[in-house]
Amino acid sequence: MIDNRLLELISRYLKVNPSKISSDTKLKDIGAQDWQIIEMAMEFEPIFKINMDADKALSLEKVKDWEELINNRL
Amino acid sequence: MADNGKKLKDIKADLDHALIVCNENKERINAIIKEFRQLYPDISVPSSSEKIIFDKNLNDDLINALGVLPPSKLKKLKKEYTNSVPAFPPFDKYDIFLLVLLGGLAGLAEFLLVGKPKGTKWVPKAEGGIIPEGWLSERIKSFQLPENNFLSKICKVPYDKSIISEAGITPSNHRLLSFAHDPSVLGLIFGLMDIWSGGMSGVTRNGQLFHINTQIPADAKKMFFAPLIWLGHLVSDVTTPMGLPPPGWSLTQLLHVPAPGAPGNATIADITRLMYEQGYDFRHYLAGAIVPGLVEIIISVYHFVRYSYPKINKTKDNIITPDTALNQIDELQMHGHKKAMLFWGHATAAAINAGKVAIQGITGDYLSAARSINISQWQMFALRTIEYIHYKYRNKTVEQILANRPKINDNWDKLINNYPIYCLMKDEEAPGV
Repeated sequence: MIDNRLLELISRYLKVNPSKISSDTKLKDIGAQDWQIIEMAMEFEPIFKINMDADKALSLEKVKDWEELINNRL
Repeated sequence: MADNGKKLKDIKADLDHALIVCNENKERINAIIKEFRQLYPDISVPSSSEKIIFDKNLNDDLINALGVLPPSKLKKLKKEYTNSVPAFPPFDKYDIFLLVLLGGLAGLAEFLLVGKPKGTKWVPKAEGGIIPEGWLSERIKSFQLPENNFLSKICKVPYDKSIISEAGITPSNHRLLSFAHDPSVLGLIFGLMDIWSGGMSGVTRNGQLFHINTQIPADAKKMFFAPLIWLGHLVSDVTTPMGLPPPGWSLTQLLHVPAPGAPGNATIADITRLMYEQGYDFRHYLAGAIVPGLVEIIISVYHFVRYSYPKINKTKDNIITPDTALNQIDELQMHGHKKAMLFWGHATAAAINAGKVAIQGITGDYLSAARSINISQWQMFALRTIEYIHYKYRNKTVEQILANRPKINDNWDKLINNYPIYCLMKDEEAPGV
């Protein structure tokens, strides 16, 4: 079960139907380019209060990687 | 010049006189025409004196005279006349040497001083890079103040909301997406509007304009000091890690058209936003201005030293002499020469920048290549190009008249010497006889 807020943000940013996004979805498989993943990280950082940078964002391949990062934040 | 003017006056008087006499001597004219046709069979000549319309107006006479020339000759004359004044005075070997030298200097400044902007944390470390961070850009950006510096506390503004999720506004891009943060006249106008109304105006990440109310409208005191508050807020932001966007950059967020060659159908708005988010800010824009600045200063100093000399345009009594016109034309052409040098200087510098972008583009990283563009240089090149075109297509009538005058005078002399115009007059009427 994906965090609703995360699902909403990803689907809105990438303009993808939320029903096509699951935890195992790879962001690049739904059309995300590197620069878009970086920009999403900029948006998620203050909302989820996570500390991000470009390399960290690009290392997160699947939606569940983002979930884990958000859930494990201090 | 004065002699020529006098000579021309004399010729005009003679011609007027001759034409009056001519009207009285149609038979003689017909004889002359006959003789003329024998001498110049390839030129069409009116069949009789009736077709020659004499007018005391010299211009009309010249037009009529031209009317008897064949089209090919007319075309040749027109071409000769038009080309008599070049669009720009030609460069000599010193001018060309300076431009080449300037190209070398601009190249050094472009690669070593401007380079690429120092990246923010949103630049991947693995980014391939041939072009180094510019020394000057790095030095300017190294001076940083925290986000909550003292000036930001004094100059609080309603357009500083940094998270509006629905609009795609984040702390990294809110200054780009709100018009009032633009360090330009556009920013001032929106800054005043937003401060007075207590709102925030801008453009969403998707390119839609918005205005939201963020606080109560300003009181009288805040309204009065709004320009200072706007300026103070910009100053407080410029030295923060994200800095301010380059002037006019917020307008690029309206350009939702595909950027040529960009990955993933990125638009121009996406690329310019990413450029800012990755470190291309107002400070780097200023650092980039060193190149057009060098071109402007070196050419201006060279031109001043080499081409400026005192000219006497007027006499003691402020009377305009024939030399005045020539001096003014000379000055105009020197302006043109400088404009041409500036144009070619900036064209060279812009070409060097294009080369820098291409070299960075070899890495295949579109965004790092985009961040190698020197916007300051291209803006200056665009400005000088407009001036160059404007000057090239100026009205050159006066210059052409003055340039052709000696030739016309020579031809009058030849005409008088080779063709017995005075034979039309009675001997006692011919001047100087």
